[in-house]
Amino acid sequence: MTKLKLLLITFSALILAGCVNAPQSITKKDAFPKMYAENPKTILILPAINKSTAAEATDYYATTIAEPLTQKGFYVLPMTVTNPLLKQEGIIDGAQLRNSDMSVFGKHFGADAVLFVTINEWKTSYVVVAGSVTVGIGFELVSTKTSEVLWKYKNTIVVDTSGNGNNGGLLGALIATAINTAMQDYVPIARSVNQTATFMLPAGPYHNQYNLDQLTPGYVEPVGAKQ
Amino acid sequence: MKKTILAPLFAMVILASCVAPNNQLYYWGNYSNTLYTYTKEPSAKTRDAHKKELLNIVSISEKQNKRVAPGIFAELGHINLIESNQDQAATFFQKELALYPESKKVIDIALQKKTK
Repeated sequence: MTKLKLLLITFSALILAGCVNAPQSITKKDAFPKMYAENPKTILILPAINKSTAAEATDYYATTIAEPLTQKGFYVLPMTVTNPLLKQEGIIDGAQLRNSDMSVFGKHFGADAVLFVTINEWKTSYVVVAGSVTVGIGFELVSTKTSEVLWKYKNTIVVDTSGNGNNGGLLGALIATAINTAMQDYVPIARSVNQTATFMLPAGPYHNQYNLDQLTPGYVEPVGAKQ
Repeated sequence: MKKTILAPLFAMVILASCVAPNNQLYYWGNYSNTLYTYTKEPSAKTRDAHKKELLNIVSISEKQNKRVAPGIFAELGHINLIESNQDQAATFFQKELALYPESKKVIDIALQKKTK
């Protein structure tokens, strides 16, 4: 029994370490007051702002983000419909819109907020004996009513693909294994970044924690990810 | 004795809030993988695999008494448009709208496209 208890405590500590990665001194309500003031429900995801050198990163990343946002209780406007519409208007990179008036997306798409995703890093590094894959993403959720930022987050995950010495914690170890056994790939890492991000995002209207998570930990800057 | 109960409870709460694969709001199945494959290698074959997964998500969601996830019906509508199944496409777009009325503006645009 004692052993089991010990195991459970260790396990929960591990989960905490792998999942929270943040100083717990600030609540979600204090970190993102505008989120709770506006209560956005419908989100339009714009094509990512791609600051990496990988041109394909935008399209590949787009396959990963709708699912975790809906699980967090938001309605995500179907990107298969909205992306071609944006393309028709000549918008293929969110950077083209960052300083625009966001109310147009409320008017034409019915979005309460627009999600800007910035791909800061999407790269593979080879050193003599080891390799690593890095994915760094920034998120900004912007109101279509006020054009103000309601929520933001950024994180970078580096996964050692050499198979030895995992400094990425439990999560890193799992991803590294997946990569080593399949092929080197960015998308599983992007999914992990999304997971840490949506963990920090206040819950949306379809979630049972909607408005009840105000006192749970918010964050300032992630500290868990290896830079 | 109380402490003995607390430790596993704590672990469970953490697990539930953090991992919770069975406690998720929606069933998304293998969506992310089939969509990624279709994006990476666009072809009739990879599109069909993704379409099958979307239909699978609908049927499993219904079995689990879960609401079908946002965008699944809209994506089925979109794929049916590509395959020139206009009526099927309209039916799926209407399903998205019925389930999520907040999609109205975008679905109206999609339906207009259909009639073009």
